[in-house]
Amino acid sequence: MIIQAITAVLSPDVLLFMTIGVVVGALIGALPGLSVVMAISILTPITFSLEPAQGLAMLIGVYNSGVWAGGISAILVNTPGTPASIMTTLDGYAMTKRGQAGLALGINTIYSVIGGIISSIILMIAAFPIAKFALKFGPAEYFALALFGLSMIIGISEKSIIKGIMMGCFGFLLATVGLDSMYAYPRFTMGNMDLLQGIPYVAVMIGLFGFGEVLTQIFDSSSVLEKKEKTKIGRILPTWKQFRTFAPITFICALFSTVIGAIPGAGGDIASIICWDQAKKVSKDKENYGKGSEEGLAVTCVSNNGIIGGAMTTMMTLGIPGDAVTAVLIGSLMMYGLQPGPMMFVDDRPFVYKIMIMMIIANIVILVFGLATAKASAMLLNFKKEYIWIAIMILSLVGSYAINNSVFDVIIMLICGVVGFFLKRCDFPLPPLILGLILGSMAESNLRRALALSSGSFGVFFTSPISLVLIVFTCAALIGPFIMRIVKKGKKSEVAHEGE
Amino acid sequence: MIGEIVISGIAMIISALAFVNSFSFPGGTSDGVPGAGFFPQVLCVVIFVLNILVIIKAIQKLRKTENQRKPFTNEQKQGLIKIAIVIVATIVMIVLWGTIHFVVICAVYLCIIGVVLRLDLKKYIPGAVVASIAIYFIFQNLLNVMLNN
Repeated sequence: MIIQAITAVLSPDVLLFMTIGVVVGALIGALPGLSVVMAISILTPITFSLEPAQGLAMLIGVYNSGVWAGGISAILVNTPGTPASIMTTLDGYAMTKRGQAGLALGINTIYSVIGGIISSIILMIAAFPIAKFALKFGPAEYFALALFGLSMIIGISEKSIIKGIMMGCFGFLLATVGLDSMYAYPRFTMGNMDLLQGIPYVAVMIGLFGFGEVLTQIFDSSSVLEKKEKTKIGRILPTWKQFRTFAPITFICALFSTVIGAIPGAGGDIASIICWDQAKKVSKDKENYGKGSEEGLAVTCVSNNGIIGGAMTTMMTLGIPGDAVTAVLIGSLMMYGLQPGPMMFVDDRPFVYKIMIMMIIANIVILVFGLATAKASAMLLNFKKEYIWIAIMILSLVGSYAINNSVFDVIIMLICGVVGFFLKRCDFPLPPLILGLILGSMAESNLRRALALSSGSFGVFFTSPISLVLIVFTCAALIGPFIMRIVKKGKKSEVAHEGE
Repeated sequence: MIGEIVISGIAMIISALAFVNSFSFPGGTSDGVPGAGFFPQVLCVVIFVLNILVIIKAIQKLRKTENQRKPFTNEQKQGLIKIAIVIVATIVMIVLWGTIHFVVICAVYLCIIGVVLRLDLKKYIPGAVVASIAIYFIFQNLLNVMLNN
């Protein structure tokens, strides 16, 4: 089965779409303000007419490449292309100022790929035992799992946790629109036949992260990048000695970031901050960290892409997303008729192998593409943003239409785009809304199924050990940040008193 | 902050309407299994309460920063006008979708956006027409999306 998967992934058509995905991801990731979530949202309906393997190869290419390419603008113009590359600016830009932009870009490519490959191998090893364990789940456990997925909201709530939880609940409420799963009764459809199937989440995704984002950027046109002066690139590849010196610390960071990636809500930014900080503490070169240390850069790059395998493990085995991108990817997989979760490992086992192989191949494509285009990548940043906005707008319109060949989806996309613009301006986080919309039906149907099996007793959620543990974890994840804030405030006031 | 209050107010109205509407859904069974309205009702209550908290926080912030609030700058006003034109152009495109050939509405739409974004029209308009034809060809013929339905 593995050999069949390798053969399928290495077929010219799949490789072609993966390469297209890598190129698109590089473009999106390198341009600050354009996110991987946006790229995957827009590309999902476009890939619908492709074979699932071709479409998913493209999306996996975008995901891996987008995270890697976020480091390019971080290194060249001190502006992270994606949140995950925030720490790359510290050492990467310092190296550029020193005239070592080429080496920084080379380290970014090589170590992002190493992080991606190590985490993909861990995905291959860990996914099957986790999925086997998750097969024991019944309705009560699934409901508790959906609630646990909600705890991811904390990680993606940006500035306000209350707003994040509210948006997540609103997503849950939107998920109830359409035919009720038990009685087939139309809920909140207002007599509209198009709403009987529920709110099309792909159109919502495109509206919030594609069209809405462009509206935000048009409004806030100061975010346009100014043309950069020519940057000196220099040599690209690190020396063998450097490679050997960085090997132990980068390997540990790759493992660590994979674990972080598997935790719902903890993304590449958190992984790179933690890994960079911990590596600095144990490094012999600690005084150069933040001042252009090659090792510091390698650590952040390996951590950025290291989270992908972890996030994919949680998404594929349990059906809950590890980060905002995998939240959108769940929607993409569902569009191909695949339901992420343990049953996918039983019903669509060959496809699971394909996804795993794709993760490895995507990283190899990035390595070749990244090293080949390192010198040309500085040109990427001279792209006029207006043309990219226009491309995103027209792709959002046509892409949302392509889902069902229906103008209704385009209307939903436009409404979500406009609503998303205002929500973003008022600091309401958008990813929890999508998360709620995706997890909503899973939570509701399993809650009611569990209660039907237990004759209406809520005790069923506490008598099952798995469900109980998941509910405890959910409570801890939701309450923990509030307690941490109180503790932090207390410490700050103590320090202030001591200062007086 | 005023925006937060308005958005939370709208969310509260929506949740209140949904709460009332959900009582018309089929009820649960006698053995305690909840009906179609149970889940939405719980969510509406949670959303309502959370929005009250958001509004309280926004009012507190509003009071603290009363003297620091700035009116819209000219650039922001221009930005709002730009996005208003983009939204209206998109609505017109959606309304005309299927009645006029896609290539025509797409080309006109792209030209309007080009004007809004102040691009060099001499170079941009031919590009917009070519792009419209390319999009039509790729989606209609290669990806089987019926753009003229």
